[in-house]
Parts: sequence; structure tokens; C-alpha cells
Amino acid sequence: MLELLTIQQMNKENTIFNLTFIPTNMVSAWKRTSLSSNFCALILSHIENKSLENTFSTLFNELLELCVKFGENKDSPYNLAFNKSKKESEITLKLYLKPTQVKQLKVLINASSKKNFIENINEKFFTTEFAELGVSVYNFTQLFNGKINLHDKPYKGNLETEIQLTINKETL
Amino acid sequence: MIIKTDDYTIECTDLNLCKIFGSMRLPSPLSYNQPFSPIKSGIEDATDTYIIDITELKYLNSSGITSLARLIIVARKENKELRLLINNSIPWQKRSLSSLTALWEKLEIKPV
Repeated sequence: MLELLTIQQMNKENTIFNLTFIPTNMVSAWKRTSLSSNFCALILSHIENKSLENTFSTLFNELLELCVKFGENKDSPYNLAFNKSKKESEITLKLYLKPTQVKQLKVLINASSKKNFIENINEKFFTTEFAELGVSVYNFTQLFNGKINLHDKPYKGNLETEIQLTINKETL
Repeated sequence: MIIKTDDYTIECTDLNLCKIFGSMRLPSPLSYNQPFSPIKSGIEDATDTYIIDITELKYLNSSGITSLARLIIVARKENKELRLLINNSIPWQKRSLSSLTALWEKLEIKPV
């Protein structure tokens, strides 16, 4: 299920966590997404801070669900990394998406960067198709004061997409 | 009614009260329709403020938050007062749910 998991704690303030996985292995049983998130969160919180287990699991689960539900080329290796430095933490997810999905994600990310994003949360926000994607982006940007950067390049008719979540250390 | 699985339990045994325990990470908002149906009915039939107690719900994914928001929309359409009991020691509950008050003025989110 998890192809390769490496964790390096350089020192107390620098941790590198890297998970390579193939979504096909999770698709066959939805519950594996949650189990994998909990497993990674347990290990990482043991190194970082036990009180962060729920937060890590929540974040990882949302990202793994994104891969399993929306990802393309699911037999290719995906990658989830957590990199903590002195000031901030960065979670990077590499996955494959259709160009239309990347476009939708960019629209959501742009909307979430606007100051009135929360004021504009209304019934429509929760009732549109794939509303949960908007909720995920909302969680990342508004609740963890995170910044999302998106990079993409063509890959077998889809886009190899890198989502970078930068979270201020105090927010975690 | 009690819905019990390996991961979560939903207890709607009292009028005007429902409790959700465990971990809910279902694949889509649609997949919450069945487990949340007794809550929806409870809201529609409520004779007083309907209470949803999630203080022992450890995890709820974005699909679940979306479905919870849709229950709030049901309460608004039925003009029923709603109280959501939350646990501030569970990070996502503290962070993710406050925006739901924008959906219905008679929704109270109460930490216990």
C-alpha cells in the first residue's frame, strides 16, 4: 500500500518525511486512505509533537483522498512529503490530474486567497459538485493560514501537478 | 435508531438529539446520505432545538463536513433551531466548523 516511506530527522528543528505510493493500491479499499493517513500521522507526531497527530492525519487524509478520488495515471508513483524547517512547515504532494481538474483547483485556490472568501461561503459552496474539494482548500488556506502553490507540467495527456502547502510553524 | 460500524456510531435514540462517535471518512458527500438520514429526519421532526453532538467524533473528512453543512441547510429550510456540540481539543472541530454559522442564523456551535 505504501511503497516507500522515509523519515529523516536532521535535528530538532528539521524533519524530512517522504512517502511514495501508488494510488491503485488504495483505490481497491477506500479505508486504506484513512489507515495510511493515521499511520503516517502517528509516526510523524511521535517525532514532532504527539498533540499534532489529529492535525497531521486530517491533512494527510485530505491529500490522499484527493489523489484517490481525482488522480489520473493511478498506477504511477505519487509522492507526499513533509519538510519542516525553523520557521515553517511545507507539505508537498505530487499527483497527476486532468487539465480541467487543475483548472478547477486553480479557481478554488485563487478564490481562497481573497479576503472575503469566508464571507462568500454560502449554500452554493456546499451544494455544488465536488464541494468537498472547496472544503479541503478552505481548510488548508483559511484554517492553517497556509499558502498553496501549484506547479504543473504535461504527463501522458494529463498534468503532473505539484501542490505545495506552506504552513506557518505557529499555526500547526 | 443506532447505526454502528467498525469506524463510527450514530445514535439517534432521543428526540431532538443525535450523537456521532468515532471516525467518519466516507468517499463522497453522497455516501453520507444513508448514515445521516436519521439525523435529517430528526431535524425535520424536531419539536425543540435539535442537537448534534460530535464531541467524540475524532475525524470527519471534507465530504463529511460538506454533508454536515447540508444538514444545516435542511434545518434552515425547515426553520428548525440547531445546536452543534463540539470538542475544542479536537483540532479540526475547533478550526473547520465556525464558518458553518454563516449558513443558518439559528445554528449555535457550542464547545463542551
